[in-house]
Amino acid sequence: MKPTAKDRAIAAAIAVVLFAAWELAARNEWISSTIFPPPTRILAGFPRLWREDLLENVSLTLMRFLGGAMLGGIPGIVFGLIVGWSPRMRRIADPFLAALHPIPKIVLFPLFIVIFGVSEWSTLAAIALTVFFPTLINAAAGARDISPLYFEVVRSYGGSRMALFRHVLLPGSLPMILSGVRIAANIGLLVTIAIEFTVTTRGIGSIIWLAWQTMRIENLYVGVIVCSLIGITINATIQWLLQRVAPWQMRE
Amino acid sequence: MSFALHEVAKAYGHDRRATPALAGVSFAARGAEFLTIVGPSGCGKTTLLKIIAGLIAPSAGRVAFDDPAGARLRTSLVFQDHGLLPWYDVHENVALGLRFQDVGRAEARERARHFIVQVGLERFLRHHPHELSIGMRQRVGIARAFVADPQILLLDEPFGSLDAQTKLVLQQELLRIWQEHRKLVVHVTHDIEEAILLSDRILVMSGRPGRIREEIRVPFARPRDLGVLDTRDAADIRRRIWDILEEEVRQSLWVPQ
Repeated sequence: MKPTAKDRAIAAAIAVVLFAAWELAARNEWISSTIFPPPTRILAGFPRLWREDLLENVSLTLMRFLGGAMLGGIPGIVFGLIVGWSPRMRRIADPFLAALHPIPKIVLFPLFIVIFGVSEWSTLAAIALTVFFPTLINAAAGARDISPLYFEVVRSYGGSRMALFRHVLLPGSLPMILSGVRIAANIGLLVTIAIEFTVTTRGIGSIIWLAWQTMRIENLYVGVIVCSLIGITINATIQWLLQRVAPWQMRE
Repeated sequence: MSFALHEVAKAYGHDRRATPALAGVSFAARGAEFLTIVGPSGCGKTTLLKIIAGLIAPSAGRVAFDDPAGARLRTSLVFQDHGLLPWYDVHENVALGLRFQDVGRAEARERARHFIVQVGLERFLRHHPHELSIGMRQRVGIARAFVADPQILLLDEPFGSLDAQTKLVLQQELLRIWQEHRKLVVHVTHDIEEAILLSDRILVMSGRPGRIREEIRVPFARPRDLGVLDTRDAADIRRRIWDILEEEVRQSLWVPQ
Protein backbone atom coordinates (compact mmCIF):
# COMPACT_ATOMS: atom_id res chain seq x y z
CA MET A 1 0.00 0.00 0.00
CA LYS A 2 1.24 3.46 -0.86
CA PRO A 3 1.83 5.94 1.98
CA THR A 4 -1.06 8.34 2.44
CA ALA A 5 -0.68 12.12 2.91
CA LYS A 6 -1.10 11.50 6.62
CA ASP A 7 1.70 8.89 6.71
CA ARG A 8 3.98 11.34 4.92
CA ALA A 9 3.09 14.15 7.31
CA ILE A 10 3.90 11.97 10.32
CA ALA A 11 7.25 10.90 8.82
CA ALA A 12 8.12 14.53 8.05
CA ALA A 13 7.17 15.59 11.58
CA ILE A 14 9.42 12.92 13.09
CA ALA A 15 12.34 14.12 10.95
CA VAL A 16 11.78 17.75 11.98
CA VAL A 17 11.61 16.81 15.66
CA LEU A 18 14.81 14.74 15.42
CA PHE A 19 16.74 17.57 13.74
CA ALA A 20 15.40 20.13 16.23
CA ALA A 21 16.43 17.91 19.13
CA TRP A 22 19.92 17.49 17.64
CA GLU A 23 20.23 21.25 17.08
CA LEU A 24 19.14 21.99 20.64
CA ALA A 25 21.33 19.32 22.22
CA ALA A 26 24.42 20.40 20.29
CA ARG A 27 23.94 24.13 20.97
CA ASN A 28 23.62 23.48 24.69
CA GLU A 29 26.60 21.07 24.64
CA TRP A 30 24.43 18.19 25.97
CA ILE A 31 26.22 16.31 23.21
CA SER A 32 29.65 17.26 21.93
CA SER A 33 29.21 19.93 19.24
CA THR A 34 32.66 19.03 17.93
CA ILE A 35 31.60 15.49 17.04
CA PHE A 36 27.94 16.30 16.37
CA PRO A 37 27.88 19.89 15.09
CA PRO A 38 24.35 21.37 15.00
CA PRO A 39 22.59 20.79 11.63
CA THR A 40 22.54 24.53 10.84
CA ARG A 41 26.33 24.67 11.10
CA ILE A 42 26.64 21.62 8.80
CA LEU A 43 24.42 23.37 6.26
CA ALA A 44 26.61 26.47 6.51
CA GLY A 45 29.51 24.21 5.53
CA PHE A 46 28.04 23.77 2.04
CA PRO A 47 28.64 27.31 0.68
CA ARG A 48 32.11 27.31 2.23
CA LEU A 49 33.09 23.97 0.69
CA TRP A 50 31.48 25.12 -2.56
CA ARG A 51 33.98 27.94 -2.73
CA GLU A 52 36.74 25.41 -2.00
CA ASP A 53 35.70 23.56 -5.22
CA LEU A 54 33.25 21.01 -3.77
CA LEU A 55 31.77 20.67 -7.24
CA GLU A 56 35.10 19.62 -8.73
CA ASN A 57 35.55 16.96 -6.07
CA VAL A 58 32.01 15.67 -6.57
CA SER A 59 32.41 15.46 -10.35
CA LEU A 60 35.74 13.68 -9.96
CA THR A 61 34.13 11.06 -7.74
CA LEU A 62 31.20 10.72 -10.13
CA MET A 63 33.52 10.34 -13.11
CA ARG A 64 35.50 7.59 -11.39
CA PHE A 65 32.31 5.87 -10.35
CA LEU A 66 30.51 6.17 -13.72
CA GLY A 67 33.64 5.34 -15.70
CA GLY A 68 34.31 2.22 -13.67
CA ALA A 69 30.63 1.26 -13.78
CA MET A 70 30.59 1.49 -17.60
CA LEU A 71 33.86 -0.43 -17.94
CA GLY A 72 32.51 -3.26 -15.79
CA GLY A 73 28.76 -3.00 -16.31
CA ILE A 74 28.52 -3.15 -20.09
CA PRO A 75 30.63 -6.31 -20.44
CA GLY A 76 28.79 -7.69 -17.40
CA ILE A 77 25.41 -7.27 -19.08
CA VAL A 78 26.64 -8.66 -22.42
CA PHE A 79 28.26 -11.73 -20.84
CA GLY A 80 25.26 -12.18 -18.59
CA LEU A 81 22.86 -12.30 -21.53
CA ILE A 82 25.09 -14.80 -23.34
CA VAL A 83 25.46 -17.00 -20.27
CA GLY A 84 21.72 -16.79 -19.57
CA TRP A 85 20.71 -17.59 -23.12
CA SER A 86 23.01 -20.49 -23.89
CA PRO A 87 22.80 -23.47 -21.51
CA ARG A 88 26.21 -24.64 -22.70
CA MET A 89 27.86 -21.28 -21.92
CA ARG A 90 26.20 -21.41 -18.52
CA ARG A 91 27.62 -24.85 -17.76
CA ILE A 92 31.09 -23.63 -18.73
CA ALA A 93 30.89 -20.31 -16.89
CA ASP A 94 29.23 -21.52 -13.68
CA PRO A 95 32.36 -22.77 -11.87
CA PHE A 96 34.22 -19.55 -12.68
CA LEU A 97 31.36 -17.43 -11.39
CA ALA A 98 31.03 -19.53 -8.26
CA ALA A 99 34.75 -19.09 -7.58
CA LEU A 100 35.13 -15.41 -8.44
CA HIS A 101 31.82 -13.81 -7.53
CA PRO A 102 32.11 -14.14 -3.72
CA ILE A 103 35.54 -12.45 -3.59
CA PRO A 104 35.20 -8.90 -2.28
CA LYS A 105 36.87 -7.27 -5.28
CA ILE A 106 38.37 -4.46 -3.18
CA VAL A 107 40.96 -6.94 -1.88
CA LEU A 108 42.46 -6.90 -5.35
CA PHE A 109 42.99 -3.14 -5.24
CA PRO A 110 46.61 -3.39 -3.99
CA LEU A 111 47.29 -5.73 -6.90
CA PHE A 112 45.89 -3.16 -9.31
CA ILE A 113 48.20 -0.57 -7.80
CA VAL A 114 51.10 -2.88 -8.51
CA ILE A 115 49.90 -3.30 -12.08
CA PHE A 116 48.75 0.23 -12.94
CA GLY A 117 50.61 2.28 -10.34
CA VAL A 118 48.82 4.81 -8.11
CA SER A 119 46.72 6.16 -10.97
CA GLU A 120 43.12 6.55 -12.00
CA TRP A 121 43.48 3.24 -13.86
CA SER A 122 43.86 1.20 -10.70
CA THR A 123 40.79 2.94 -9.26
CA LEU A 124 38.75 2.33 -12.42
CA ALA A 125 39.84 -1.31 -12.56
CA ALA A 126 38.73 -2.00 -8.99
CA ILE A 127 35.33 -0.32 -9.54
CA ALA A 128 34.83 -2.08 -12.89
CA LEU A 129 35.55 -5.50 -11.42
CA THR A 130 33.19 -4.80 -8.51
CA VAL A 131 30.38 -3.85 -10.87
CA PHE A 132 31.03 -6.65 -13.38
CA PHE A 133 29.80 -9.61 -11.33
CA PRO A 134 26.44 -8.42 -9.99
CA THR A 135 25.44 -7.08 -13.42
CA LEU A 136 26.48 -10.36 -15.04
CA ILE A 137 24.69 -12.56 -12.53
CA ASN A 138 21.46 -10.58 -12.71
CA ALA A 139 21.44 -10.31 -16.50
CA ALA A 140 22.01 -14.08 -16.69
CA ALA A 141 19.18 -14.76 -14.25
CA GLY A 142 16.90 -12.40 -16.18
CA ALA A 143 17.64 -14.11 -19.49
CA ARG A 144 17.27 -17.58 -18.02
CA ASP A 145 13.90 -16.86 -16.40
CA ILE A 146 12.16 -15.77 -19.60
CA SER A 147 9.42 -18.25 -20.40
CA PRO A 148 10.32 -20.42 -23.43
CA LEU A 149 6.80 -19.63 -24.67
CA TYR A 150 7.85 -16.11 -25.74
CA PHE A 151 10.76 -17.43 -27.82
CA GLU A 152 8.35 -19.90 -29.41
CA VAL A 153 5.87 -17.11 -30.25
CA VAL A 154 8.48 -15.06 -32.11
CA ARG A 155 9.84 -18.15 -33.86
CA SER A 156 6.34 -19.20 -34.93
CA TYR A 157 5.90 -15.89 -36.75
CA GLY A 158 9.20 -16.38 -38.56
CA GLY A 159 11.53 -14.41 -36.26
CA SER A 160 15.28 -14.95 -36.71
CA ARG A 161 17.82 -15.31 -33.89
CA MET A 162 18.35 -11.56 -34.10
CA ALA A 163 14.60 -11.08 -33.66
CA LEU A 164 14.62 -13.37 -30.63
CA PHE A 165 17.31 -11.19 -29.10
CA ARG A 166 15.57 -7.93 -29.94
CA HIS A 167 11.97 -8.86 -29.12
CA VAL A 168 12.36 -11.41 -26.32
CA LEU A 169 15.78 -11.71 -24.71
CA LEU A 170 16.52 -8.03 -24.25
CA PRO A 171 13.10 -6.69 -23.18
CA GLY A 172 12.47 -9.83 -21.11
CA SER A 173 15.67 -9.53 -19.09
CA LEU A 174 15.64 -5.75 -18.81
CA PRO A 175 13.93 -5.66 -15.37
CA MET A 176 16.53 -8.03 -13.90
CA ILE A 177 19.35 -6.18 -15.69
CA LEU A 178 18.22 -2.98 -14.02
CA SER A 179 18.02 -4.52 -10.56
CA GLY A 180 21.53 -5.83 -11.17
CA VAL A 181 22.62 -2.34 -12.12
CA ARG A 182 21.08 -1.00 -8.91
CA ILE A 183 22.93 -3.51 -6.73
CA ALA A 184 26.16 -2.97 -8.67
CA ALA A 185 25.84 0.83 -8.47
CA ASN A 186 25.47 0.77 -4.70
CA ILE A 187 28.52 -1.46 -4.21
CA GLY A 188 30.40 0.47 -6.88
CA LEU A 189 29.82 3.76 -5.06
CA LEU A 190 30.99 2.18 -1.81
CA VAL A 191 34.21 0.98 -3.43
CA THR A 192 34.79 4.37 -5.08
CA ILE A 193 34.60 6.15 -1.73
CA ALA A 194 36.71 3.50 0.01
CA ILE A 195 39.46 3.95 -2.55
CA GLU A 196 39.26 7.71 -2.19
CA PHE A 197 39.77 7.24 1.57
CA THR A 198 43.03 5.46 1.00
CA VAL A 199 44.98 6.67 -2.00
CA THR A 200 43.58 9.78 -3.63
CA THR A 201 43.83 13.38 -2.48
CA ARG A 202 40.73 14.59 -4.29
CA GLY A 203 37.11 13.41 -4.44
CA ILE A 204 34.36 13.19 -1.84
CA GLY A 205 36.01 10.29 -0.08
CA SER A 206 39.16 12.37 0.31
CA ILE A 207 37.15 15.32 1.67
CA ILE A 208 35.61 13.07 4.31
CA TRP A 209 38.94 11.49 5.21
CA LEU A 210 40.70 14.84 5.37
CA ALA A 211 37.87 16.27 7.50
CA TRP A 212 38.50 13.91 10.42
CA GLN A 213 42.27 14.26 10.18
CA THR A 214 42.01 18.05 10.38
CA MET A 215 39.07 17.87 12.80
CA ARG A 216 36.82 19.89 10.47
CA ILE A 217 33.89 17.69 11.31
CA GLU A 218 31.28 19.78 9.43
CA ASN A 219 33.09 18.90 6.19
CA LEU A 220 32.76 15.25 7.09
CA TYR A 221 29.00 15.62 7.36
CA VAL A 222 28.84 17.55 4.09
CA GLY A 223 30.64 14.64 2.41
CA VAL A 224 28.23 12.15 3.97
CA ILE A 225 25.24 14.16 2.76
CA VAL A 226 26.65 14.41 -0.77
CA CYS A 227 27.23 10.64 -0.87
CA SER A 228 23.68 10.03 0.35
CA LEU A 229 22.30 12.32 -2.35
CA ILE A 230 24.24 10.44 -5.03
CA GLY A 231 22.95 7.11 -3.72
CA ILE A 232 19.37 8.35 -3.56
CA THR A 233 19.58 9.74 -7.11
CA ILE A 234 20.91 6.44 -8.49
CA ASN A 235 18.15 4.42 -6.85
CA ALA A 236 15.39 6.83 -7.86
CA THR A 237 16.62 6.87 -11.47
CA ILE A 238 16.63 3.09 -11.69
CA GLN A 239 13.22 2.85 -10.04
CA TRP A 240 11.89 5.31 -12.62
CA LEU A 241 13.47 3.35 -15.47
CA LEU A 242 11.99 0.11 -14.14
CA GLN A 243 8.53 1.63 -14.15
CA ARG A 244 9.01 2.71 -17.76
CA VAL A 245 10.43 -0.51 -19.18
CA ALA A 246 8.63 -3.10 -17.04
CA PRO A 247 5.20 -1.78 -16.06
CA TRP A 248 3.84 -5.33 -16.04
CA GLN A 249 6.18 -6.25 -13.19
CA MET A 250 5.59 -3.18 -11.10
CA ARG A 251 1.92 -4.15 -10.66
CA GLU A 252 2.59 -7.36 -8.83
CA MET B 1 -4.21 -24.60 -49.95
CA SER B 2 -3.47 -28.05 -48.58
CA PHE B 3 -1.00 -30.13 -46.67
CA ALA B 4 -0.63 -33.71 -45.54
CA LEU B 5 1.06 -35.54 -42.70
CA HIS B 6 2.64 -38.89 -43.51
CA GLU B 7 3.24 -41.24 -40.58
CA VAL B 8 4.44 -38.41 -38.37
CA ALA B 9 5.90 -39.65 -35.07
CA LYS B 10 7.58 -37.83 -32.24
CA ALA B 11 9.40 -39.06 -29.16
CA TYR B 12 10.93 -36.87 -26.48
CA GLY B 13 14.26 -37.79 -24.90
CA HIS B 14 16.77 -40.31 -26.21
CA ASP B 15 17.16 -44.03 -26.66
CA ARG B 16 15.57 -46.22 -24.03
CA ARG B 17 14.29 -43.39 -21.92
CA ALA B 18 12.46 -41.84 -24.89
CA THR B 19 8.80 -41.07 -24.26
CA PRO B 20 6.69 -41.44 -27.36
CA ALA B 21 4.25 -38.55 -27.85
CA LEU B 22 2.93 -39.27 -31.34
CA ALA B 23 2.85 -42.63 -33.11
CA GLY B 24 2.42 -42.51 -36.86
CA VAL B 25 -0.14 -39.79 -37.48
CA SER B 26 -1.38 -39.36 -41.05
CA PHE B 27 -4.06 -37.04 -42.36
CA ALA B 28 -4.59 -34.40 -45.01
CA ALA B 29 -6.37 -31.05 -44.89
CA ARG B 30 -7.32 -28.81 -47.77
CA GLY B 31 -9.19 -25.74 -48.91
CA ALA B 32 -10.64 -23.48 -46.27
CA GLU B 33 -11.90 -26.25 -44.04
CA PHE B 34 -12.08 -26.06 -40.27
CA LEU B 35 -10.45 -29.23 -39.01
CA THR B 36 -10.51 -30.08 -35.31
CA ILE B 37 -8.43 -32.70 -33.57
CA VAL B 38 -10.02 -33.95 -30.35
CA GLY B 39 -8.09 -36.05 -27.92
CA PRO B 40 -7.55 -36.75 -24.24
CA SER B 41 -5.05 -34.52 -22.45
CA GLY B 42 -1.44 -35.51 -22.99
CA CYS B 43 -2.11 -37.22 -26.33
CA GLY B 44 0.37 -35.05 -28.22
CA LYS B 45 -2.12 -32.62 -29.79
CA THR B 46 0.07 -29.59 -29.07
CA THR B 47 3.14 -31.45 -30.35
CA LEU B 48 1.26 -32.11 -33.58
CA LEU B 49 0.49 -28.40 -34.08
CA LYS B 50 4.07 -27.40 -33.32
CA ILE B 51 5.31 -29.89 -35.91
CA ILE B 52 2.98 -28.34 -38.52
CA ALA B 53 4.16 -24.86 -37.45
CA GLY B 54 7.79 -25.96 -37.89
CA LEU B 55 8.63 -25.26 -34.25
CA ILE B 56 9.71 -28.85 -33.62
CA ALA B 57 10.94 -31.50 -36.01
CA PRO B 58 9.21 -34.91 -36.13
CA SER B 59 11.27 -37.95 -35.14
CA ALA B 60 9.86 -39.82 -38.13
CA GLY B 61 7.53 -39.18 -41.05
CA ARG B 62 7.05 -35.87 -42.80
CA VAL B 63 4.73 -32.95 -43.44
CA ALA B 64 4.13 -32.26 -47.14
CA PHE B 65 2.89 -28.81 -48.08
CA ASP B 66 1.14 -28.02 -51.32
CA ASP B 67 3.73 -25.63 -52.68
CA PRO B 68 5.44 -25.77 -56.07
CA ALA B 69 8.85 -25.25 -54.43
CA GLY B 70 8.00 -27.61 -51.58
CA ALA B 71 8.37 -24.76 -49.09
CA ARG B 72 6.38 -24.77 -45.89
CA LEU B 73 3.19 -22.77 -45.90
CA ARG B 74 2.90 -19.69 -43.72
CA THR B 75 1.29 -20.63 -40.41
CA SER B 76 0.01 -18.66 -37.43
CA LEU B 77 -0.29 -20.42 -34.09
CA VAL B 78 -2.73 -19.23 -31.45
CA PHE B 79 -1.32 -20.37 -28.12
CA GLN B 80 -3.34 -21.79 -25.27
CA ASP B 81 -2.21 -19.08 -22.85
CA HIS B 82 -2.35 -16.35 -25.51
CA GLY B 83 1.45 -15.94 -25.65
CA LEU B 84 1.33 -12.15 -25.75
CA LEU B 85 4.66 -10.53 -24.97
CA PRO B 86 4.18 -8.74 -21.63
CA TRP B 87 6.63 -5.95 -22.56
CA TYR B 88 4.63 -4.90 -25.64
CA ASP B 89 1.25 -3.17 -25.75
CA VAL B 90 -1.72 -4.54 -27.68
CA HIS B 91 -0.80 -2.69 -30.87
CA GLU B 92 2.82 -3.91 -30.87
CA ASN B 93 1.77 -7.45 -29.98
CA VAL B 94 -0.62 -7.68 -32.92
CA ALA B 95 1.86 -6.02 -35.30
CA LEU B 96 4.41 -8.67 -34.26
CA GLY B 97 2.52 -11.11 -36.51
CA LEU B 98 3.73 -9.11 -39.52
CA ARG B 99 7.09 -7.96 -38.21
CA PHE B 100 9.08 -10.78 -39.81
CA GLN B 101 7.38 -10.69 -43.19
CA ASP B 102 8.25 -8.25 -45.97
CA VAL B 103 5.94 -5.61 -44.60
CA GLY B 104 7.06 -2.10 -43.67
CA ARG B 105 6.75 -1.04 -40.05
CA ALA B 106 4.07 1.58 -40.78
CA GLU B 107 1.99 -0.82 -42.85
CA ALA B 108 2.31 -3.53 -40.20
CA ARG B 109 0.99 -1.13 -37.58
CA GLU B 110 -1.85 0.00 -39.85
CA ARG B 111 -2.95 -3.56 -40.60
CA ALA B 112 -2.63 -4.49 -36.93
CA ARG B 113 -4.85 -1.57 -36.05
CA HIS B 114 -7.44 -2.76 -38.56
CA PHE B 115 -7.68 -6.18 -36.90
CA ILE B 116 -7.76 -4.77 -33.41
CA VAL B 117 -10.75 -2.68 -34.49
CA GLN B 118 -12.31 -5.85 -35.88
CA VAL B 119 -12.10 -7.63 -32.54
CA GLY B 120 -13.48 -4.48 -30.91
CA LEU B 121 -10.41 -3.61 -28.82
CA GLU B 122 -9.42 -0.26 -30.37
CA ARG B 123 -9.82 1.40 -26.99
CA PHE B 124 -7.06 -0.84 -25.62
CA LEU B 125 -4.38 -0.26 -28.30
CA ARG B 126 -1.92 1.14 -25.80
CA HIS B 127 -2.72 -1.25 -22.95
CA HIS B 128 -0.31 -3.95 -21.90
CA PRO B 129 -1.50 -7.57 -21.61
CA HIS B 130 -1.49 -7.48 -17.80
CA GLU B 131 -4.11 -4.74 -17.92
CA LEU B 132 -6.57 -6.91 -19.89
CA SER B 133 -8.86 -9.75 -18.82
CA ILE B 134 -7.94 -13.27 -19.93
CA GLY B 135 -10.71 -13.26 -22.54
CA MET B 136 -9.48 -9.96 -23.99
CA ARG B 137 -5.92 -11.25 -24.11
CA GLN B 138 -7.00 -14.26 -26.14
CA ARG B 139 -8.86 -11.99 -28.57
CA VAL B 140 -5.63 -10.05 -29.04
CA GLY B 141 -3.88 -13.39 -29.63
CA ILE B 142 -6.46 -14.26 -32.29
CA ALA B 143 -6.09 -10.84 -33.94
CA ARG B 144 -2.31 -11.34 -34.06
CA ALA B 145 -2.75 -14.71 -35.76
CA PHE B 146 -5.14 -13.33 -38.40
CA VAL B 147 -3.13 -10.19 -39.16
CA ALA B 148 -0.19 -12.35 -40.26
CA ASP B 149 -2.52 -13.59 -43.03
CA PRO B 150 -1.44 -17.22 -42.63
CA GLN B 151 -2.13 -19.93 -45.18
CA ILE B 152 -2.82 -22.28 -42.28
CA LEU B 153 -4.22 -21.08 -38.96
CA LEU B 154 -3.29 -23.32 -36.02
CA LEU B 155 -5.35 -23.09 -32.83
CA ASP B 156 -3.96 -24.78 -29.69
CA GLU B 157 -6.88 -25.00 -27.25
CA PRO B 158 -7.39 -21.25 -27.61
CA PHE B 159 -10.35 -21.23 -25.21
CA GLY B 160 -8.97 -23.78 -22.76
CA SER B 161 -8.28 -21.36 -19.94
CA LEU B 162 -11.54 -19.40 -20.22
CA ASP B 163 -14.68 -19.72 -18.12
CA ALA B 164 -17.66 -21.40 -19.79
CA GLN B 165 -19.55 -18.21 -20.67
CA THR B 166 -16.57 -16.28 -22.03
CA LYS B 167 -15.72 -19.36 -24.04
CA LEU B 168 -19.15 -19.39 -25.75
CA VAL B 169 -18.84 -15.75 -26.75
CA LEU B 170 -15.29 -16.08 -28.05
CA GLN B 171 -16.15 -19.18 -30.07
CA GLN B 172 -18.80 -17.11 -31.88
CA GLU B 173 -16.27 -14.31 -32.33
CA LEU B 174 -13.76 -16.66 -33.86
CA LEU B 175 -16.37 -18.02 -36.27
CA ARG B 176 -17.35 -14.48 -37.27
CA ILE B 177 -13.78 -13.42 -38.06
CA TRP B 178 -13.04 -16.71 -39.80
CA GLN B 179 -16.21 -16.30 -41.91
CA GLU B 180 -14.71 -13.02 -43.19
CA HIS B 181 -11.17 -14.32 -43.68
CA ARG B 182 -11.70 -17.92 -44.68
CA LYS B 183 -8.61 -20.06 -44.45
CA LEU B 184 -7.52 -23.55 -43.57
CA VAL B 185 -7.74 -24.09 -39.80
CA VAL B 186 -6.30 -26.88 -37.70
CA HIS B 187 -7.79 -26.64 -34.23
CA VAL B 188 -6.90 -28.77 -31.24
CA THR B 189 -9.14 -29.21 -28.21
CA HIS B 190 -10.35 -31.67 -25.60
CA ASP B 191 -13.79 -30.04 -25.61
CA ILE B 192 -16.25 -32.16 -27.61
CA GLU B 193 -18.98 -29.47 -27.79
CA GLU B 194 -16.47 -26.96 -29.10
CA ALA B 195 -15.31 -29.38 -31.77
CA ILE B 196 -18.88 -29.95 -33.00
CA LEU B 197 -19.77 -26.26 -32.95
CA LEU B 198 -16.73 -25.06 -34.90
CA SER B 199 -15.60 -27.79 -37.28
CA ASP B 200 -16.25 -29.16 -40.74
CA ARG B 201 -14.36 -32.32 -39.87
CA ILE B 202 -13.20 -33.87 -36.60
CA LEU B 203 -10.30 -36.26 -36.07
CA VAL B 204 -10.41 -38.19 -32.80
CA MET B 205 -7.05 -39.07 -31.30
CA SER B 206 -6.03 -41.85 -28.94
CA GLY B 207 -4.19 -41.31 -25.68
CA ARG B 208 -0.42 -41.13 -25.52
CA PRO B 209 1.26 -41.93 -27.83
CA GLY B 210 -1.31 -40.23 -30.03
CA ARG B 211 -2.66 -41.65 -33.28
CA ILE B 212 -5.81 -40.91 -35.27
CA ARG B 213 -8.65 -43.23 -34.27
CA GLU B 214 -11.59 -41.87 -36.24
CA GLU B 215 -12.67 -39.23 -38.73
CA ILE B 216 -16.09 -37.59 -38.43
CA ARG B 217 -17.74 -35.12 -40.83
CA VAL B 218 -19.84 -32.38 -39.30
CA PRO B 219 -22.76 -31.68 -41.63
CA PHE B 220 -24.08 -28.36 -40.31
CA ALA B 221 -24.40 -25.35 -42.64
CA ARG B 222 -22.69 -22.05 -41.87
CA PRO B 223 -23.04 -19.56 -40.35
CA ARG B 224 -23.89 -21.61 -37.28
CA ASP B 225 -25.15 -20.77 -33.85
CA LEU B 226 -25.34 -22.69 -30.59
CA GLY B 227 -28.63 -24.25 -31.80
CA VAL B 228 -26.75 -26.87 -33.85
CA LEU B 229 -25.64 -28.52 -30.63
CA ASP B 230 -29.27 -29.48 -29.84
CA THR B 231 -29.83 -31.45 -33.07
CA ARG B 232 -29.98 -35.24 -33.49
CA ASP B 233 -26.85 -35.12 -35.66
CA ALA B 234 -24.93 -33.38 -32.93
CA ALA B 235 -26.05 -35.98 -30.39
CA ASP B 236 -24.85 -38.76 -32.69
CA ILE B 237 -21.47 -37.15 -33.22
CA ARG B 238 -21.09 -36.51 -29.51
CA ARG B 239 -21.83 -40.17 -28.84
CA ARG B 240 -19.33 -41.39 -31.45
CA ILE B 241 -16.57 -39.17 -30.09
CA TRP B 242 -17.23 -40.03 -26.49
CA ASP B 243 -17.29 -43.79 -27.17
CA ILE B 244 -13.69 -43.51 -28.29
CA LEU B 245 -12.53 -40.93 -25.80
CA GLU B 246 -14.05 -42.65 -22.78
CA GLU B 247 -12.10 -45.78 -23.57
CA GLU B 248 -8.89 -43.76 -24.03
CA VAL B 249 -9.32 -41.72 -20.89
CA ARG B 250 -10.14 -44.76 -18.78
CA GLN B 251 -7.06 -46.48 -20.09
CA SER B 252 -4.84 -43.51 -19.32
CA LEU B 253 -6.25 -43.28 -15.78
CA TRP B 254 -6.14 -47.08 -15.22
CA VAL B 255 -9.90 -47.08 -14.58
CA PRO B 256 -11.30 -50.56 -15.48
CA GLN B 257 -13.42 -50.63 -18.68
